[in-house]
Amino acid sequence: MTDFWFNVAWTVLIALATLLSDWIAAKFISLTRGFTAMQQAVDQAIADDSKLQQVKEQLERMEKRAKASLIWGADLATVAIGLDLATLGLWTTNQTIFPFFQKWNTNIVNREIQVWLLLIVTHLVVLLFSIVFKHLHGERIEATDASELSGPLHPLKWIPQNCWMLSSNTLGFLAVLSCLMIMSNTI
Amino acid sequence: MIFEEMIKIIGVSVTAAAILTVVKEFLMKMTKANIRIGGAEFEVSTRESKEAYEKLLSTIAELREHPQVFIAYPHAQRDFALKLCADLVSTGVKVWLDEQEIKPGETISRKIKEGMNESQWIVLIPPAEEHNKGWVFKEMQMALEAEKLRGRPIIIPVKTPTNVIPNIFSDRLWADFSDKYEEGLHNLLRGIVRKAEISKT
Repeated sequence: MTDFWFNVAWTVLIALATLLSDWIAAKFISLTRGFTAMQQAVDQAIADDSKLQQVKEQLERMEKRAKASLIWGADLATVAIGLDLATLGLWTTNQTIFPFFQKWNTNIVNREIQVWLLLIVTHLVVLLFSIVFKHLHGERIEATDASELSGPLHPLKWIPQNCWMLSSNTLGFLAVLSCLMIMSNTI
Repeated sequence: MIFEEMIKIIGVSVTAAAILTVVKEFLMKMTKANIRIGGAEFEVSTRESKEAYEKLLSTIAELREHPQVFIAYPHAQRDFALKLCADLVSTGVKVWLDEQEIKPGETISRKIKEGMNESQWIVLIPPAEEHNKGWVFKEMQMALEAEKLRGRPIIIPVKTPTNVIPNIFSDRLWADFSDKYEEGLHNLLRGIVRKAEISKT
């Protein structure tokens, strides 16, 4: 039981690291991309009324882009595959290091390779789905008016609006958690 | 037993993912950037487009009503430039004039560039000879460059009784002060001071 919560804590830490690096990148990108174009649009709006709409659209586009960037599930699924490969590297040199893979062996059948293949394929499928969900979320945000987008303080509106994002993030989290549970033989 | 374990793992994952997503949402909410419009600088959040738009609108309205104007002039037109500066200031227009803004020891070209970037309009008083190679010629080149970067016409040529409008501005309506000064000033103000009211829709 304690091992399970340790795994959860490690997964949260990995997710936080992914999330923070993504946030730092977004912070720097937002200072250059989008803002320069908007600065120009605002300057043009001083002389031209028709540019005001462009300013509004530019701001809405930035808000939507920021909303869409909340997804980190696919990043975590990629981390999980990275962990799988690192674990595989360690396992090939010492096959007793991760007892999880030996659990499925019998006296006559050795199933370690099948378990490995199943694990990697499962994580690849998880990655695939998290990417699909990411695109579905992006499409939904794109199709929604910026004024309709709500924050987590209104969960009744926020959860249905972001269900694809939550699904993608959950899949990513599950992928890393399962990886750590297998490595620590908690399953 | 396995089923219960699975439910627990999925439940924990959903909860953790939701909490981490909310954490990121709040982090993104804090992402703000400074925008410079003319001389004004203010913070815009990427997450609140409606509030940011309203903030921008009020800044645009203020800059339309009280724009900053950069006056580029040759030394021979100094008296005219000073009079124009005083008249513009009396109507609420902010004016950037080299002799008031550049202090001894400061780099002239850098200060001029800053002045142009901070101004919404550049009032250009060309010299009497078209091929004058003095500072006003350099200022004209810098103004043309700034205009290209900003993607809108910002230069307003001014015709005085003694100067010549360069060929490069032959296609642009200039503010004509050559006949009646008051009429020229009225026309110039019509070009630089816009109505402040902006629809918020």
